[in-house]
Amino acid sequence: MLSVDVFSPEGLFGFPHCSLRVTSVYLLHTNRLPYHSIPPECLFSFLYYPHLVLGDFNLHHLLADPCGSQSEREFIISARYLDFAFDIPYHLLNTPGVYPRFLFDTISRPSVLDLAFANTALSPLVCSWDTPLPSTGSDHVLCVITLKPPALMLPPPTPHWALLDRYAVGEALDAFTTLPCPAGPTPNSLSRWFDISSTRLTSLLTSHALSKRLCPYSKPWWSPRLSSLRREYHKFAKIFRLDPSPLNRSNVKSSRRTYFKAIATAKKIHWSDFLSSATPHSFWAAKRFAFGRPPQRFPDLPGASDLAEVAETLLHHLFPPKPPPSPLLRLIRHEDYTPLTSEAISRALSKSSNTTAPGPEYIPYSVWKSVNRLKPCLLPSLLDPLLAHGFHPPSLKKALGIVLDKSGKPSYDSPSSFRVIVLLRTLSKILERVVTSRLSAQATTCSLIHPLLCGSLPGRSTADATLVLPHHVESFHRLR
Amino acid sequence: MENFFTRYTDSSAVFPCFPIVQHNCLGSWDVFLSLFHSFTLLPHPALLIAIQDPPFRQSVLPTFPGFLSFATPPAGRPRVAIYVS
Repeated sequence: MLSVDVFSPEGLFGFPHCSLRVTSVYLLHTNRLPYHSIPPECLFSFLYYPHLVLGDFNLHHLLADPCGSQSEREFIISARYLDFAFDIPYHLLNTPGVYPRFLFDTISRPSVLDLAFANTALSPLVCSWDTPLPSTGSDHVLCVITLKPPALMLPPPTPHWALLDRYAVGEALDAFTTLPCPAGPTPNSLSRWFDISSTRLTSLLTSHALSKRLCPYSKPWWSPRLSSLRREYHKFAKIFRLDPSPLNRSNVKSSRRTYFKAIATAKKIHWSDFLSSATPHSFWAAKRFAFGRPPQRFPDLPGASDLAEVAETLLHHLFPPKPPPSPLLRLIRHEDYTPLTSEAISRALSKSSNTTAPGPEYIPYSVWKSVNRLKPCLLPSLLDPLLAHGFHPPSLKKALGIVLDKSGKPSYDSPSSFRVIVLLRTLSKILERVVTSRLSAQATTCSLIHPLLCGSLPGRSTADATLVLPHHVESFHRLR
Repeated sequence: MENFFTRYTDSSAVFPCFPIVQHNCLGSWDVFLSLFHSFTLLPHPALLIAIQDPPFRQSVLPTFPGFLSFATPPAGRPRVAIYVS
């Protein structure tokens, strides 16, 4: 194990921390506990400044290799290191399903032994973990971790679900099995089981979809003809720089005129096509294109000098901290519990719109509908233990917050001038819908709902309320 | 390294990012040389390279122009090394 401290008196990437510690690790197998040459207590420690731990850990863990299989002994050994790291907390940087180790024989499958962890102070600076370079002759592939200031990072690539290879997903789901739920679980063990199981499933789905990244240079109107015109224009411009003759000048002018005219025409055609195929759903997009977006107001909050502090201030204002609930030591399985079925999940999914914005894992309802159709027993096996124990894991409470400014405010230097849209994981919302339908049925059976209540109830609507109203008026007149 | 971050935080930043590379060399000189020559394929120059099982001959770690090496333990065969650009 070797650590190097990088020091900068000006701060790192605009952050107040002046130091960055990089620890290179090579864990070797031993016959004594913890079966590796360096215990986790030496690798991970609570540091207030950024710390990166990376190296060959010689550990197999399902969070780094969700499609792999591991023995119970391997799981216990690797869980000791990873649980210790997650408790501090350190974050695993490996992209699940990306393999940095390929054995030279043709029998063994690729694996993940090279791991990288970043502590909380470093996490906002980590742009990517990737294996972009070819083999060097070693059975390991180079791992490249890129640090960048958050302000310069593009949004992360998201899966292009429209191009999901459904046939391949179907085959992969057939071979996929959920890990057995721990018996007599504690909140931590059930939460860890759910995290590993759901990560394995989401990684499987994500690995079968192509990635797309929003790019400031995306031009839907661009065509191969424009590329050839641009190439021609730059070729003539280069010739003119070398030989500024009148003939070359006229060539440059004509090629430039043709190129820019083609761009204008392509934009015009694209806009006409967009308007001709406009639907009520694309009305607001058309308005935005025609009149432009209103200027985005960035929160200018007093006492918040960087992005992290702005986010912290907004979070504190919009979601004031609450005292933590009393911890549960052990979860009890409810005896009178009705098991969750795929039909119940189908009913919950049928009411969910495919266009609803997904949460932090970027999986829309349409993908879960496909999964439930291809392998009906999968989602119940994942969600049933949570319902049976009456437990909602913390990972399902993580959300993506979209901050929007409220219009017409005199100043935008207060958190109250902004609102946040919280996008929860779609898997969490499926579970919520199932619970809601059960509670609703229970409330109706036990006559907990007033007979005249018509709002937000299945089978009742405004028409029922308007029919009941004259009836009550007439009966009131009759009494008089 | 101090100048790197100073330059970066400036608006006329020279380096757009800070890449850190990690690799297990299996104690092979060929892998080591292949590793350092492959950096030309990266979009940004690697500034810090963490190596496990570096090659080692006659109590000397290999060097590469433009990089400064650190290893532990100071005496004996090192299992890890870090090269800083």
